[in-house]
Amino acid sequence: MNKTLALALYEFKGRLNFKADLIGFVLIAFLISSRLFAEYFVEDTVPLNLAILYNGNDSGLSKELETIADNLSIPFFKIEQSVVSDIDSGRLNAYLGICNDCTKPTIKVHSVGQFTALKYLNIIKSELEPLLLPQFYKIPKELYGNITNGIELEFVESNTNTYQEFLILNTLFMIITILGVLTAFAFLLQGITEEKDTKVTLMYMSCMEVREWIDSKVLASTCLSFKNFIVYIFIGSIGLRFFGIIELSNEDWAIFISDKLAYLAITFAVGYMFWCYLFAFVSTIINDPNSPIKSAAVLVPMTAFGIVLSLLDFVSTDFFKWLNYIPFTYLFTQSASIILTEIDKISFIISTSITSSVTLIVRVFAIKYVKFETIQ
Amino acid sequence: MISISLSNIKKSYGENNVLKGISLTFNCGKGNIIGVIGKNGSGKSTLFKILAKIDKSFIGELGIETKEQVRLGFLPEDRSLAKLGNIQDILTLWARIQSVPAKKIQKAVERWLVKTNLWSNRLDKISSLSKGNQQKLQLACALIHEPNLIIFDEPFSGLDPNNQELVIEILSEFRNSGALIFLSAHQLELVERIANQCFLLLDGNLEVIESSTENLQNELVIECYRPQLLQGIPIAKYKGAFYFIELDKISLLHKNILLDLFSNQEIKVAQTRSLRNIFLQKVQAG
Repeated sequence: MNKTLALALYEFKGRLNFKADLIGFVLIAFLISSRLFAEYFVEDTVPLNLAILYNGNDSGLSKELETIADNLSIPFFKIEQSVVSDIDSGRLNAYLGICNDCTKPTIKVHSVGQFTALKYLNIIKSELEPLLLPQFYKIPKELYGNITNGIELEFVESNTNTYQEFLILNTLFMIITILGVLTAFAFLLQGITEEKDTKVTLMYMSCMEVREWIDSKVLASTCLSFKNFIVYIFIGSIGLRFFGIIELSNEDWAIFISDKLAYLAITFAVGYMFWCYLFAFVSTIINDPNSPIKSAAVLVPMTAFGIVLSLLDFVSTDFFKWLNYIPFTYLFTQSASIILTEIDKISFIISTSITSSVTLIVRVFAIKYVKFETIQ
Repeated sequence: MISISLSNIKKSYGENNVLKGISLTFNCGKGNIIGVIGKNGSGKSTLFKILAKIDKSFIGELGIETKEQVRLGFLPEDRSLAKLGNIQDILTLWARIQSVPAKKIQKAVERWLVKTNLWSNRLDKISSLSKGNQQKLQLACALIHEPNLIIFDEPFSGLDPNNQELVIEILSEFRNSGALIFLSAHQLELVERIANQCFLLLDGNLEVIESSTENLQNELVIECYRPQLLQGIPIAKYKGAFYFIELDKISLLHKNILLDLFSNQEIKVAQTRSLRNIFLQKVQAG
């Protein structure tokens, strides 16, 4: 077996940890369910007792407000004095007064202390709006309903209909990619600098070339991150579908896989190799495993990720395309361009060639500048 | 058969000249163990890294002549191995990267597990091993491909006497199979026992101590103030009251005479020419 492959296989197998993956699954499931339960408890167990007050003359509105209050299981008052006495006695924390003579639709919140249950208040407000707004502006409720529905956007180009779905998918892809890059960062920087520090490398160097040693580290790191990538994409996709965040049809998936997956795989491989060799290079020039340069180095991919994430709305612009030609942003921009826009093959070939060439140069530097110095 | 020639080898770390132009030739013969001793920081590890071609940034020429392919077994001074997997995994990895043919890997791994008494620990994690066992494992990793050129830096450090004997036994086997072996150690009595030749690395130069360590064990220095008592006994040389006697050149009768003189306290042993004494004298003089 090739020496590079042998060492890469050993590192990969040694770092495979199904227990950690399983714990990861459980933790993610726990976090998602905690989020759902937290929302449920926050909304349903607000400790405030609220009431609605309407002391106007419109009996129809009064009746409808009473119905809404009933549905929300809160008291409804027509006389201000009685609600004030309830507040004074402590039976109520606050009441919502529908303003009769305000120049714009207004609900006044009367409370003794600071009002903190804003989410609960907004729920009540959203229940009251379809009733109060048509009343205030004197328009039919149906018309109000139509207005609030807004204007539909209908895309003639069929692919654009799924743009939002793919935008979400791209964000997931980017997050998982940066996780992979950071995993590689930890693996390579820690692995290489520590091995240099403990002189394990001296034994390796007695029977293999520097390039074989560095290539094996990068290869193992790539395989590990690829494994993580597959696992998290799988979990993420299931999660997104489960919560109804993306609803791509099988046909959409088929088109995506046949038209874009190969480009995406190449982008991932090339972009990822660039980061791996960059980290390997940094590791070879650092002799101290606790060097502060490590802390600074982690900011580089995170900055690139942040920049690209903030520019996702401009994915079709020339500026965004230029970022494809910069190796630091290539992994994130090129993958976003592939997922969200029509693939520009010429641009893809050029950007991929540039990043590949820079990666090879970084690899040469990593091999050239690695040093093992001891005096005895 | 391997021959290594060093021609004016120089190596510096900044302004610190560690090796100052070493020129020597080492021949394997039918197997040879070369001991290199020196005080801490004298450059032994640097020299060994140059010999192993790990460090290529030196001045001078290093030539290795051999009719067969060089199979290098290198053991650095620092005891450390990758921490992933168990002992068997590590040995399998080293068999692979030391280019042991795929079909022979399993047998080689099993043989070295037995040879280094690690068979019962073969499924243990590296981190759970004692320092001594880690060292034996590292030894096995360096030798699993049956090298013909072995460079071991401090192979005895951290080992108990039992395991030191194991290392001596293994290295002797390799010597008998025709390997050229370099070793450095601070356990000079062990070097003296095992090495065929000894060199002292002092002030950047490699100085031969004895062409054969057998000579060291053969020479006796006695202190005697009545020379007439030694009449008839072959004396190699003398200096004042100190007489140097080569034990293999005197008869049994003369040995018995010497024993009588010792027991009557007419003469006393001044010193045996041990490697330790030579090392201390040279280093202190230097």
